[in-house]
Amino acid sequence: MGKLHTKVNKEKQVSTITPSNQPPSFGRLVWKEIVNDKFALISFIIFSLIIIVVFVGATFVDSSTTTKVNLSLLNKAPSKKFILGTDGSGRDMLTQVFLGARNSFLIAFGVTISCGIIGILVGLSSGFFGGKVDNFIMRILDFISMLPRLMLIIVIVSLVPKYNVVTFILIMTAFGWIGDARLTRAKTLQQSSLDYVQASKTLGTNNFVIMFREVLPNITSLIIVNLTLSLAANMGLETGLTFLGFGLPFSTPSLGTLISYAAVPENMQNRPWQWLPASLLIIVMMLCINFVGQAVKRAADAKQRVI
Amino acid sequence: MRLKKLLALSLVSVMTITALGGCAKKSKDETSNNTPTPTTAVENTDDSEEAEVTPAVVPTEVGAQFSTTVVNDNASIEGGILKVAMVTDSAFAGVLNPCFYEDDFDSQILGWFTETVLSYDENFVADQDGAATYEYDAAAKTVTLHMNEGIKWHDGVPVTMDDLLYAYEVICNKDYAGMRYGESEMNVVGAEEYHNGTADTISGLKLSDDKMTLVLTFKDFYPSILVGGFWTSPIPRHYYEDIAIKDMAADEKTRTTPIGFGPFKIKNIVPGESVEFERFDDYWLGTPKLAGVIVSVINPDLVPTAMKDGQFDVALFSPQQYPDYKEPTNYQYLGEVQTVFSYTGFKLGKWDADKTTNIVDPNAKMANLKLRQAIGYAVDNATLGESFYNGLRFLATTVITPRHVSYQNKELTGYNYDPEKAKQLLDEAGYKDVNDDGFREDPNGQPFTITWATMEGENAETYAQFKIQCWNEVGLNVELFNGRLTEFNAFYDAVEFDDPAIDMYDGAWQTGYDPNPASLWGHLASANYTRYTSDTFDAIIDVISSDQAWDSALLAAKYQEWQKAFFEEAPAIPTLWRIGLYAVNNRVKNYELTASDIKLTAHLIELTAEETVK
Repeated sequence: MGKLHTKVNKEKQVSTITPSNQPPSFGRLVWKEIVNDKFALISFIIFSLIIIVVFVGATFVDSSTTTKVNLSLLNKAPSKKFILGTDGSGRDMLTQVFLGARNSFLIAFGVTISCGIIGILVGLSSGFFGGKVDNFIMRILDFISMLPRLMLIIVIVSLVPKYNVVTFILIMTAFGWIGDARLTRAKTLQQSSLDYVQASKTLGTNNFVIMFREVLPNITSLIIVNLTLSLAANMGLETGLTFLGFGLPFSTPSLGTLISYAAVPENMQNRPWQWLPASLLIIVMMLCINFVGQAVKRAADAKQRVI
Repeated sequence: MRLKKLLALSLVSVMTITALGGCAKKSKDETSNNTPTPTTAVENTDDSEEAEVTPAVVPTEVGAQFSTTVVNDNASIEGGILKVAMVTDSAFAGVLNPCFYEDDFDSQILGWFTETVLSYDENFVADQDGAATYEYDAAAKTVTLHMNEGIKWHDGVPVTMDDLLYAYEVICNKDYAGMRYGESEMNVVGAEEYHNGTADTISGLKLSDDKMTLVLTFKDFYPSILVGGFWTSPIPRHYYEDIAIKDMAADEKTRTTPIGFGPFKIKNIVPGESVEFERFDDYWLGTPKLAGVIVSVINPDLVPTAMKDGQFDVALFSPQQYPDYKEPTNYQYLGEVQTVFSYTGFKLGKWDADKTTNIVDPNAKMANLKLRQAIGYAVDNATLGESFYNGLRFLATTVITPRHVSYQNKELTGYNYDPEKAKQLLDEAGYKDVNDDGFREDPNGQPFTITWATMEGENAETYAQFKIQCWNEVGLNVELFNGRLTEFNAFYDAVEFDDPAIDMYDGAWQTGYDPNPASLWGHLASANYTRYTSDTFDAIIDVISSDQAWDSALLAAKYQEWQKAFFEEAPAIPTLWRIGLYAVNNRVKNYELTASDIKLTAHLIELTAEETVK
């Protein structure tokens, strides 16, 4: 008897999970969504450019000299030396725009992030633990959301003796985390009822580990959508408050201060170089954030994905 | 920054508070000014202020460029409503009682419906053209006032000298908390006893039986008395007598339905916003030509467009906006140098309300004289007046304004811009920068910060920032009170009631006819917000307020001496004098700008068109 020479076809052991079968990460989804949507792509490029230019430009600017009042240069029209003219205190408008855009963006970003952190923590705890904890936290949320946010910010700003960028961010955060908390709680509630969470609990995993290592990653997509859209809203809020006069102090330029120059009829009619760049910049930035945010939102929702 | 014709009231009453103005806007074309614009000095990154030597500007010469009467030869219409603007970004307080009002805005309103019993001529001396005539006897130290017959209050009751007596009773009363009780009032025989409660009436005020004559006897009789040196604003006894004096300022008869005997009576008040007047047919000088007047508040930023659109007939125009509106088509400018000075005051003590006296605090932060002087030398007020206010404000060398030409000390150069001297003074005083952070520490080596209060207003941030920069440059760390500009009413509340957080503040005074320093800088004056007193001051003021002052040579010498002492002791640094600029619509006729309404002419104002010229 001879050996049975069966041809054993050594087939390559192909794992059943191929790179192309793995569900793409959220980041890749977002990127694909953006690239696919013309508006979002252009917005993304423009926004990145603005941010890079503003931040790089702002580092070259010495804020102490450029915010100095210079009585002989009041309200000068754009010229070779002052590309965007000067304002009512004799300060160069171009550097003001850079500094202002940077400050406005940093504030908006800071507020969004702090609101996000607080909101997520509160929302997660509330949604995960449920029961009495949830009830208690929700009543607090309800109470705070009932308060007139804008009015209270104005009152507090008037009362605080010395305020700067940090205090301003704190004040705005104090009332702004509600939306994030509500959203996170809703999603967490939904996730908590799922099997994997029950399984983890049964295994005896620490609650906080479950919350942050298992539940949170599943809801990040929606949180990121929310954060992106609220970035635009916060930028608008900060600018609005400064425009009304309840924002940053005079020596800290912000896009809101620049836009408030338009409140004086003389400036509005005859000196567009003082308020037009800032106004255009705000509009463009908010639109860009919004378009990108919409793309991110679509990426997060599987039913709406274009790709 | 808002000034207006002042009421013909007595010396103390004409001391009103005006808000200090903000920044300036320069016009697009630089050819309009005739002073060297130091553009070359700013090309380099050197951040020093323009230390240009500008030719000495004489305020009265600049003021002479403007007319004080309206040019209008058109035929007048019957009646018409004059629309007057009250230029402020706050609400007006609305204390519409001559005994209780405190600021210039209320005085603007009072000017339309109240009067004093005496009128004054161009030299600010009382004449016989008013509601009362007068005589005086220097030897007997008396002034006798005779009320003219037929003058009525707005409710028809005749005006008598009893009403003036009543005003004295209110002001000198121990329950009176307003600012009008001062040295002039205490100078009336018997007033202090009445104030203390030891007498029921003021013995120095004698009313005749028919109530039409009042004889005032003074302790000291000096020239100031005839230049608005005693209270001449009556209030109707029959209207107010039922109200307790401590409640009078807040009562609705003061705030909502006050009456006077001026050419117009109050028709409607929207608190803080506007006052509507209608003609008082029985006005003693004749029925006013206008049917009524409306005074409304408007934000200073909006004045130029409002005047261009014909929204107002009369408005105070800001010097910062003037260069952009030099050739108006539907209105004209009136202007004159005003009896106003702006100043930086230092809080140097406290006010003792019981003893009605100022008490100096030797431990006040700003008690060091060299420190105060350095603060004065550090700021470039001449450039401020030139660039920021477009040449319509001037470095003030003294607290006597250019209107009082004969009294002004012309030798004083005042606190001109000399940062090197400022630094030197600070070094001498021991304020050195020991830790090299760019700011000086105090003589004990402790961190040193000065809290400075200044008002909100047009471009006030630029103004504040500029001054803080000037002080930073000599090494002084100056911070704003509460980290921001203070609203007009809140500002004077904090300054008047000696808020301990304020070390220095920028204010302004509209002075009256008589430059007698007693009511603003004397040790008995509640209006002396610096709370500073000194024996030198007291000695000089005593002479000015005594019968030695009839010797005009001595009086002039004393004024010179006083201004010099004020410069040397520096309880406050005078900063700016100003020209008041008014835009008047072309349909207005017979409108004359006079300092403090010395001529009663409101009833003669006419209009030549139904609508404002647009």
